[in-house]
Amino acid sequence: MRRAPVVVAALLIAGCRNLEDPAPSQATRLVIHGVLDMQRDDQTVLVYRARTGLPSAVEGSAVSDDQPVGNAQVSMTNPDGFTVPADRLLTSSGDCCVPGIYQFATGPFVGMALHPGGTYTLRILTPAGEVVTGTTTIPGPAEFILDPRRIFFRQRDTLRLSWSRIPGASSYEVIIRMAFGEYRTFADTSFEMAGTALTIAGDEIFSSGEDTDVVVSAVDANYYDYYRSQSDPFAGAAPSHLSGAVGVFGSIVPIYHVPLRVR
Amino acid sequence: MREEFVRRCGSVFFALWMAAVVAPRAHGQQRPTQPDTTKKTDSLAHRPITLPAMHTDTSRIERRLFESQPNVSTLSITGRELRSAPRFFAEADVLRSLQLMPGIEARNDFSAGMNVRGGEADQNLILLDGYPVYNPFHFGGLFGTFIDPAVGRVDMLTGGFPAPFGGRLSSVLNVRSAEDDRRGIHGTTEVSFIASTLSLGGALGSSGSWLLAGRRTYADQAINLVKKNAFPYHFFDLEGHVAHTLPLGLRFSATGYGGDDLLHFKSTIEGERQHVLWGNRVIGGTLSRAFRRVPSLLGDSIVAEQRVSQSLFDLNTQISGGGFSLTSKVRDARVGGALTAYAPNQTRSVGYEVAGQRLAYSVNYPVPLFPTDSFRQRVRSVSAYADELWTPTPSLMMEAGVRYDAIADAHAAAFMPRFSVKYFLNKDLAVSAAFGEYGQWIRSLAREDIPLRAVDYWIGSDSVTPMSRARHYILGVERWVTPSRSFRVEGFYKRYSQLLEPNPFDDPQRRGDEFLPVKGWSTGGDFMLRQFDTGRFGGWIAYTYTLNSRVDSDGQRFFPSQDRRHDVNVVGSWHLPRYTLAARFNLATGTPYTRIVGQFDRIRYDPMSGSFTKQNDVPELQFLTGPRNGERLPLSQRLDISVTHDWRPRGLTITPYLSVMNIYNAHNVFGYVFDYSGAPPKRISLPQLPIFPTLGLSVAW
Repeated sequence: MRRAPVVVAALLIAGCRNLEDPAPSQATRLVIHGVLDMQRDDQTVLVYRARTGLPSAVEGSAVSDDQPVGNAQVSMTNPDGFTVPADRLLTSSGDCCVPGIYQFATGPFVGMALHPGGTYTLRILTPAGEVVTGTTTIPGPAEFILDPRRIFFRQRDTLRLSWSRIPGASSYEVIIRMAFGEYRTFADTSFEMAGTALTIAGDEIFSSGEDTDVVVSAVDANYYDYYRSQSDPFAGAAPSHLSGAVGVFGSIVPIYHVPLRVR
Repeated sequence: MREEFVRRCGSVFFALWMAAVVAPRAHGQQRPTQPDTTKKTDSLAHRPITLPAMHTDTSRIERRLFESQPNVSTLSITGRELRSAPRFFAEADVLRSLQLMPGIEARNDFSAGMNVRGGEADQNLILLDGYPVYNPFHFGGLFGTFIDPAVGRVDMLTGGFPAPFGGRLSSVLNVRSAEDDRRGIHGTTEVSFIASTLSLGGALGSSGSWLLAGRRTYADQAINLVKKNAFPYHFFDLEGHVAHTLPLGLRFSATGYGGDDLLHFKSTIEGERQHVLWGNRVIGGTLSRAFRRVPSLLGDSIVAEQRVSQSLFDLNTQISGGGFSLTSKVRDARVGGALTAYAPNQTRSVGYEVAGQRLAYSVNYPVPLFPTDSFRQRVRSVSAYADELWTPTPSLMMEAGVRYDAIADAHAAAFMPRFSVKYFLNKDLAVSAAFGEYGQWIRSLAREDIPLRAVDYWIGSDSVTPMSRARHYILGVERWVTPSRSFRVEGFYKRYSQLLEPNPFDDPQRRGDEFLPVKGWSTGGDFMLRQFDTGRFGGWIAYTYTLNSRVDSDGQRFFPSQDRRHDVNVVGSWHLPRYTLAARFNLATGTPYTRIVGQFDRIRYDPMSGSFTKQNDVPELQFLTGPRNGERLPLSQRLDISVTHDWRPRGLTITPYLSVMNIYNAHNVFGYVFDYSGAPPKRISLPQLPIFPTLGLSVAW
C-alpha cells in the first residue's frame, strides 16, 4: 500500500508531456482590405500577407502584424473602363513609402470620382507575380443626414433609428462610437437599442457624461459578407469575394450620423 | 401466439436445481439436511426452516429477440449490464456505456453524444419510454441525463429500424424505465465525487410498479467551502415512472422527467443577469389493452395502444446583463397509437403519429461557433405506418413495412419502405438482411465539425429546408455460441440525399441559408462478441469500422468529422467472492480535422475617420484553413477500471467503489491549436481526459 502514491506519481509523470510542437510553415496568402467610401476623397487599400509561419513576418507594424507587401502594382478601373494606379503613402519623414498601404484619390477635382451605383474593379500585381482582382458596386444614390447633437438619458431613453432602403445596399452597418471602443452591428432599415444596453463584455454602450456618435452606413455585399461573418478554426476565414486573395474589396456609403450626449 | 412461440423457439424454459439446503460450512460440503420428523410439532412451529435453494432460469431477452424477430442492428442491454462498465467521473452513464457498443462512436472524451454508423450526431432519435428527449446531455455533453438506477433496459437500433420508428436518419435509442414490482419500498442511493442519486420504487397494488429517482451534482457546494462561487454550476434530474393495470384489462404507464443545468456567474453589477440555464421536461402516458376475442382473420389477439406526450427543451443564456443573450426552445407535443394483431405466424401492426413542434432560436450578437440566426418555427407532421412480421417457415422470418411521413410546413411527404429478413441456418446461427428508407425533418444547427457539442439547437424543415433522406442496406450474421455467449457481425451501407449541414457563414438577415446541402454515404461493418454475465464474468468485445464520404455544396469531397475508421472496445467485469473488477479498454483511430494554415487580422473600416482600425485594439483573428478535414488526429487509447466491494448487512447491499479513468494517463489529443504569431509556428495539442480516480458508495435495499 505504501507504494501506491509512488505508482500514481510515476504514472502521472509518465503521462506528462510537452504539448507544443513546431509546425511547418505554410504557403503564403495575400490579405486585402479595401473599402470605397463615398464620403472620402482618398480610398485606402491594404495589401498584406497572412501569418503562415514564414520567418519574414513583421512584428509591430502600424496597422497589422501581418506582413505588408510593398512595391505592388495596385490599380482601379471605373465603370467607364478608365484605370488609375494607386499612390503610395509617404512616411512621416517624407520617404517612400509606407509598405502595404496604397491610396486612390477620388476627390471631386483629382483622380477618379466615385459614383453611386458604379462598379469598380481593383487589380493588384505583387512583385512575386501574384494577381488579385475584386469588384464592388457602390450602393446609392443616398442622402447623408447629420443630426444635431441631442441629449440621451441612458436610464430612460431608447435609441430608435430608421432609414430608407438604399439601392444596391446589402445591409446597413450601425456603429456606436463610445468613449472607449465601439459597438458594431448590421441592421435592415431600423435599429433599436435601450440606453442601458451592454456590450458582450459587459461594458455600457451609452456611458453617462460621454459624447457618443452613431453612424449608419449602407454597405455592399462584399463588405457585408466579410464583416458580418465570424471566423472560427473549423470554418476558416470570413467569406471573400476576391480572386487570388482573402479579405475584402467593398464599398460603404454613410447615410446617417446621430451625435448623442449621454446623461 | 404464445404456444407457437414456445413450440417453435423453445425459448422459454425453466430449470430447477436442488442445491444445498444449508450453506457449506468451513469443514466442507454437507449433505442436504432432511427434515427431522421425530421432533415435536410445537417446536417445529418456532424454528426457522431452511428450504432448498431454487434457481430459476429463463432465456435472455437477447436470445428471445434473436429467435423471434429479425432484430437487425438491434442491441438490447439491461441496466445491470450497462452499470457493469467502469464509471465515467464516478457516474454510471447510459449514454457513455452505449458508446462502448458496436456501431456507436463518440467524437471524444468530452462528448456523451453518439455518431451511429457514420451518421451525424443529430440523426439519433432518443426516447425515454417511447417519448422523445431533445437534448439528453448535461455539462456541455459530458454526461447523459438518464439516471442510472432508473434505467431498466436500453434498446438501441443502429440501422435498418422498422416502420414504427421514423423522424431520424441513423438510429433509435429507447431507454426504458426500470419497473420494480417487489412489495415494499426498495431503492438505491449513491454518493459519488460528482453527485448524489436516490432511486425509490416498488409494487403498486397487485399489478403495477412505481419509480421515483433523482440526482443532483454538488461540486458547486463542495468548492464553495473552499472558495465562494469558484464553480457556480450544477445539474439535477428527476424522473418518475408508474405502470399499473386498470379495470377492464387496461394497462397504463406514465413517465415524467425533468432536468436542468444551471450555471450562475457572479455578477459585477447589482441586478445583472448572468446565467446559462438549460434543461428538458418530458411527460408522457401510454394506455394499452389486449383483446383476446377477435375475428380469426386477425389472429389470436389484438393489442391497442395510445400514447400522448410532451417534450420541452429550454436554453436561456444571459451574459453581461443581456449584452449577450442566446435562447433556444423546443415544444414538442405528439399523440400516437398502434393496433397490433398477433397470429401464430404473423404479427401485423398499423400505427399513426401526429406531432407538432414549436422551435425557436435567437441570439442578439454574433459570436464564433454559435449559430447567428434568430427564428421561430412551427413544424407539424403526420405519420402512419403498417408493418408485418411473418414467419413462413421455422427457419425464415420476414418483416416488411411502410411508413408515410408528411410534413405540412415543408410541403413534403414520402413513403418509406422497410424490409428485413432473417434465415436460420440452424437454431443458433442466422443470417439477416435489412433495407430501409428514412427521413428527417428536425435537425440541429450545431455544426458537426466542432468537436464540442454542448447542446443541439433544433430547427425544422420548411419551404426552404427539405426533408433529409437516407437509405440503409445491412447484411449480418448472428451466432449463439453458448446460451450465454453470442457473436454478431454486420456490414452496412448508408446513402444520404438532401442531407443538410449548418452554414457557418449564414446571413442572419436572410432566411433559408442556415443550411448547405450535402450528400454522401457511410459504409463499414461492426462486430460484437458478447459474454453475458453468468455470475463470474460478463463483457464484450466490440469493433466498428466506418468509412464516410460527403460532398459539400461546392462539390468538394471530404471525410466528415465523425469518420473514425477503427474503434475497438473491450469491456469486462469479473465477479470475485467479495469484489467485482470491471475494465474497459478503448483503442480508436483519430477523427479528421481541418488544419489551420495561417492567420490574419480582420481590420475594420471606420467611416468616421476614413481609415482602417482594429476594433477596440483587439484583433479579430481570421483563420486560414487547409483542405476540409484533410488531416487526422492520432490514435487514441484509454483504460478505465473500477473495483466494487459488496457488503450485505441486514438486507442492505452496500457497495463502495473506486473507479479510475484513463489509468495510465494516456495522452489522447482532443484537438490542435495553431499559433502563427512567430516562426516557426507552433502546434499545441489539447488533451482529452487525464487520469481521474473517483470514489463512491452505493446502498441498495
